[in-house]
Amino acid sequence: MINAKSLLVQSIVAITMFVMVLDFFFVDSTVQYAAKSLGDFVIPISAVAMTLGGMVLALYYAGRIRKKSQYWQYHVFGIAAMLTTIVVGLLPPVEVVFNWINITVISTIGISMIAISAFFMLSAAYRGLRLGTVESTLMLLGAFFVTLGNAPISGTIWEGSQAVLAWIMDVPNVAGMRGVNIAVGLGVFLVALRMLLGREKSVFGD
Amino acid sequence: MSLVGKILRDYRVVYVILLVLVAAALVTPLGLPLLVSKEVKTIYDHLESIPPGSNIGVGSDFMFETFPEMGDSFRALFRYCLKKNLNFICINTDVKAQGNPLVEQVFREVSIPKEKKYGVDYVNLGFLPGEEAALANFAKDVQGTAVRDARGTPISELPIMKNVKTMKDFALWFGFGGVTGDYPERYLRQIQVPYKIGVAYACQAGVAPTIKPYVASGQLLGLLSSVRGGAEFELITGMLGGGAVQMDSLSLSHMFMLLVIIAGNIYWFGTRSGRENR
Repeated sequence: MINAKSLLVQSIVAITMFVMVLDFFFVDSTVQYAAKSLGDFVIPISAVAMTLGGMVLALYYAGRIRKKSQYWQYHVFGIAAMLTTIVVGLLPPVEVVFNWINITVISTIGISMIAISAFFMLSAAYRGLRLGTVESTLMLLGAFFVTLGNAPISGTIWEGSQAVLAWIMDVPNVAGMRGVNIAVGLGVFLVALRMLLGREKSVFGD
Repeated sequence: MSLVGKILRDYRVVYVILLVLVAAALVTPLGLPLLVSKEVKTIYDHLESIPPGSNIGVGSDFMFETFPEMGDSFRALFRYCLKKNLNFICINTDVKAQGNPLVEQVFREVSIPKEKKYGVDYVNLGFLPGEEAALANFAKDVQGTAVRDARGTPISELPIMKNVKTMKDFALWFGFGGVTGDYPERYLRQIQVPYKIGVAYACQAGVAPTIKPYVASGQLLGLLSSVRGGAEFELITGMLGGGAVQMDSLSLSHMFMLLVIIAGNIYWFGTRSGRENR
């Protein structure tokens, strides 16, 4: 039995997709106008979705705090940080305090997290990259020449390092990634086709 | 146990050596040589062919975490555009990115010539919610989509935006990526394919291999990969900055990594053959 609500949602999705596809392939002022009008809806919808996401997150963590769930203390800090950022972002003077939080706190934490990975990568490299089986030897050689080629000084030490790096990146790497990209593209196309035909209902929450 | 074995078994020693090498090279640059890659030179050649007064669109979709890797590329591009009289127009359409405050930070940090003015030679259009759909709408109708800049000024009052109506009014689009490798696709789908505008890209080193197919196919003009890409761009434009300074530490850390990989394998083979002999 067809659910009227689902049919309405699917029809909206199908019509929107159809207009956008037409706009991409054909030059027609009516289609262009329709696509632009639909596109204009995206900006306010996205802004509302972000607000809604923040509210849902706050309610979810508030529930966990109320129930004293595991690690509830962290959620207190999470909600406090979120509320502080929102309030500071909305109240004047916006530039000074908001940017101070961004640059001094968030940026520093983020950079530190990324920087720490260098140490783990180093220890993982010399523990994991070992001569042994054919597969592990190939991995070792690949990692060795990519690391060597990426060192800025490598071109001066050995000119061939750049050629080896270029070959690894442009031939085996591109071949593998191209395969992945084509597979992903086909998958996305099939999901879109299923949505267009009303066969894909998981995105509507069914 | 040999000394090498003791060092390799105690991670703390290896970490300290790496830290000292990186810090020493930053404090006392050695001036180690650096070669400019083909991908950076292609971008530079394309930029050189663009006449002064043209508009360069910049997708400032970087995050706080990724900015240290791509900040030098962004600063170098900004300085180059100011020097070559190219209009520098930034917009961020990625909800995960924090391009808006970072662009403003660069505008404050970089030494801007007195004759160059905000809103005339460069502008930050801020964050536009809606991801790829917003970018598509921006490409179709710039004035109708990005109504105000990041500082709240209506873009109709900004001289730089006077003649920017659609994506056709841009000479080049320069995207800056975030954490994952899915970002160039939106620029290719919404800018390069429909408007035939050249697209260049800057990304983290870890993401670069996933983007290589687009460079190989010619869809992306070139790629500035991480700090090294920024340093190469600084070198080719003759405006050395923060990227070039970091190259010595990058060289030393990479060579140290190779050294410990070799030492680790020798040690591992030595201990394995020792055990087999016993």
